Order: sequence, then C-alpha cells, then structure tokens
Amino acid sequence: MKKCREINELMSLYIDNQLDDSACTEFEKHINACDSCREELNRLIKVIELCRNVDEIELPEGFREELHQKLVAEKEKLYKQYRGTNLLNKYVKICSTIAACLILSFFAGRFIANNYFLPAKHDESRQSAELTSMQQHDAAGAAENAALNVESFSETEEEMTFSIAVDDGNQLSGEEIPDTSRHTNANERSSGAMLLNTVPVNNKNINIKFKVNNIADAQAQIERIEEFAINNGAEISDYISPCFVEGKYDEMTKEAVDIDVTAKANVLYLKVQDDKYGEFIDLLKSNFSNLNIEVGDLETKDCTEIFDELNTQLQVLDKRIEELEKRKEVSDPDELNRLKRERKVIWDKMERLQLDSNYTFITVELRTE
Amino acid sequence: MNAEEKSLINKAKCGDIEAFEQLIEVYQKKVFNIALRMIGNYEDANDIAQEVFIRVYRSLGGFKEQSAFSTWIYRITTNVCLDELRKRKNKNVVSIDEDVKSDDGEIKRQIEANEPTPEAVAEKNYIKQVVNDAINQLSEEHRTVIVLRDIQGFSYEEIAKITKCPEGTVKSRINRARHALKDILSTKKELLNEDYVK
Repeated sequence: MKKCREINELMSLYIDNQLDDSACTEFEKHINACDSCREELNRLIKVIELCRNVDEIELPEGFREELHQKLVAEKEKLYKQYRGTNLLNKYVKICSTIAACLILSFFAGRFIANNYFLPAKHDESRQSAELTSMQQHDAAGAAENAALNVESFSETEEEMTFSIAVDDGNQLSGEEIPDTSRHTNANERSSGAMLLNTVPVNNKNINIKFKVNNIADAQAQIERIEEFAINNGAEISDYISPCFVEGKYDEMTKEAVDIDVTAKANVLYLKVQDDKYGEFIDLLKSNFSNLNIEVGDLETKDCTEIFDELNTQLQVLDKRIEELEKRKEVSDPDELNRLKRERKVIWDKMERLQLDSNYTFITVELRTE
Repeated sequence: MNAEEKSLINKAKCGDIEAFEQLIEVYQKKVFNIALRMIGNYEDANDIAQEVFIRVYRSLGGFKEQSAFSTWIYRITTNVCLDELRKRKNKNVVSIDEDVKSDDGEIKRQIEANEPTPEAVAEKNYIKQVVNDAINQLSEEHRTVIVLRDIQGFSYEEIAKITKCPEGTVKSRINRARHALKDILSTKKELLNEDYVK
C-alpha cells in the first residue's frame, strides 16, 4: 500500500478525476483504511468548495468608458511615437546620405581639379541636390521631432520589449523577467521592422452614391457637396488610396501608382480625419437628405504587409547604394542614380501609406439613372 | 478561434478600436475577476484590468495566433498581476486593512472602518472575506494556480498553456497550493468544520 506522503501528493488529482482506474482504486483503498488521510482529503475538498463559492464580481461602473478613452489615447500615442521614430530613422538616413554626397563631391572636386571631368558626375551632383532639397522638409520636421521625442523614442523601445516579452510568455517566474527583457531588447533594438509591427498601417474607404435627375444637375450638386465638405472638416483629395483601386494594391510594392482622380466629372474624392469621419457622414446625410443617398460599407485594408515589404526593399536598396558609394570610383553612376530614384519612390509610398492611415477616404458619386 | 474572432483580431491589429472592444467584450469580466483575486483589492483590480487590455491592444501586432486568443489574454493578465505583486513587494505597499507601526507603538490607520469599501459592499459575506484574505497570503505561484483552477475553473491543460508550465508542474503546484491554503484556513477552525460549510 502507498505511504501517506504519496497519497497526499495525489489528493488533488483524485479530486479532479485525473487518476487512472488502477491508481484511483489504490488511492481509495488507502483512504478507506487511513483516518488521517481521509480527514486531510475532506479538508482539502472543503477548501476547494470555499474557493468555488467565491462570487464573480461585476465589472466596475464606467469600466468600458474608461477603457475606451485610454484606447483612443493609446492609438494616438502609438502613431505619434511611430512617426517620431520613423522620422528619426529617416533623419539619420538623410544625414548619412548628405555625408555620402559630401564625400562624393569631394572626390568629384578632385577629379575636376585634375581635369578628369566626367559628365556623369554632374548628374550625380544634381541628383544629390534634388534629394537634399526634397528631404529638407522632412529633415526640418525630423530635427524638431528628434529633439522633442527623445523620451518617447526610448519609451517605444521599452514598450516593444514588453510586448515581445509578453508574447514569449516567459514572465511567470521572477528570475526570468530581467533576462528575457534584456535579451529581447538587445535583439530588437536594431531592428526597425519590429517597430513597424506595432503601428497600424491601414487604408479606409467608403463609397457614397447620390441620385440626381440629369448631368447638369449633377455638376451643380457636386459643387454644393464640395463646398459643404470643405466647410465641415473634409479635404478634397487629389488621389484615392491605391488600396481601393482594383489591382493597384498588389502593384503598390512593385511600381509607382498614380490614379487619375479627375477622370470622372461626376465623382468627388474626399478624405476626412478618422476622428471626424462619423460626424461628417451624419452631417452629409442630414444636409443632402433630399438626394437619394446610398452609403456603402466602410472598408478597411491592412497595409502592414505592404509597408513591411516596402521597408525590406528599402533596406536592400540602402545596402546596395551604400556599397556603390563606398567604392572610390563610381563605376556605374547610372546604376547609382537609378537606385536612388527607386529609393525615393519607395520612401514616398511608405510616407503615403502612413499618412493615409489617419484618414478615411470618401468617394462621392452622383448618378443620373 | 472562430471566423468572427479572427476577423475582429485583424481589424483590431489595424488599430480599429471598435473591433477591439467587440473582441474583448467576452473576456472583460473574467480578466477583472482574475485581477481582483490575484491583487485582492477592487480599485487596483480595475486599474490592472484596464492595463491588461491596453497591453493587449498594444501588442496585438505580435500575437502570432499559435495559441488561442483567450489563452494569450489570460497569460497577459496573470503576467500583469504578477508584475504588480512584485512591484508591491519591493515597495512594501501598506494594505488599507493593516495598522501602521511607528516608534511610539501601533497606530490605527486613518481610514474610517465604519465606511464600507466598495469591496466590502460587493462581498459582505464573512466566509468569503476570510477566503480572500487567505488567498492573499499565498505565494504568487500558489495564488495563480488557485485563482485559475479553483476560482475560475480552468482545466489543468489550460493552466499549463496560460502559465507556460509543463502540465506535470501544474498538477503538483495545484496540489501544493491547495494544501497551503488549507493550512492558512485551518487557523479559522470554524471554516473547515463540517457543520459550517455546506
């Protein structure tokens, strides 16, 4: 027969029906014969009963409302931090580009001085100048952000460390926490891709259809709606999100996408900041209730994958450009220029995806039938 | 994970707060109750549960869908609670029920005892209060498994997944935790008296 100590260890398994038949029989045999173990088992059963009688408490009043406010603030914070870190990264990139250009100019100068003038160098300098002026706008913003966001930048890292640690789920025993976080921190600090993961990059679109009697009427209405939209927090968009043009979403990572928004005279393209969107649609509906309004479903497309893919392409290009620039003589200036143009296109696409994530795009269409 | 939950997760990953709120609706009460039993204080449990959902929202991008969403939420919940308990240990947080010791001897805390706390309003029952106090005296490890198994009713397998511990470890830990709780409650003899509990 089993000893009391062994029986003691099996008590919970017995109570929870986790013992197989033979173990169960042996356990019961001991319990029937041993008073102290039987008493101990009964006490344990009572303890469990007491726990099971603990009531489930209702959520505190206002719990959902409080959480909602915190979530809205968190979304905003995540976006701001992301913009901050992204611009900071970009700023670093711009600085290194400028530095690379200066070095190139220095070498170019020496070539010119030695009458080794290469026409291609002009292109290179022009390209650099173009790049620099194009980036000045961002650089100014970045410098400001860099100064303001030093604290939030490190916060982002801390938060990422946390979320990765949670996902690993290795926090349970006290000793594991510092090691896990140190390890993760060291691994992820250099990885931009991980930072991107936390930021929602998405595109939202909604179609609104109005019914009018004739084309002339449609144009007059379009103008009215346009004026109304501008006065009520919307902006006229000069492009629509490629995510909602058939086929263009998939092409986005491969080539530049430009959509001719002026093609249709009876269509108006608007964008509204996410937090004003609901109010704007309501106003639109009530103000133009005489027109037969059909509001479509709000479509949301997750662009994180595209964003990440663009980021990967960017890193590959950065590497190749860096390699080419490292060489003392640029053996293939055309190739370098081509890569830089490609990089600019990718930057623009990424920027556009990020900025568009703050807006809901609205396509207003007037139909005559 | 059903299709609806999956679709809500995808929307929430894009930052859609409404989808996120729909997604967590079924977990809110349980998360709050786990926090309440782990921390033992109504107000703090509210803050902890809020913190849990903010962290879930923040780290949703990293949720790989290898485990059930529910398991993942409850894992974050226990982790946040354990973090809080460890922080308290370091800071030596004084419980509102305890008296404060000073050089001149013991002084009563300033909080009026006849003004019932929200917790006391919610749980008037004496036995339940004693059980709660006993749970609060358990070690972190024991408290976690008692809350998950005997209060929330999770299976051994689920607890193993939530705590990321082998099932064998969970089994022996639950047994030790119950014995420890029994030892604490044994000081209140009437509770384990057969006539008292039924």
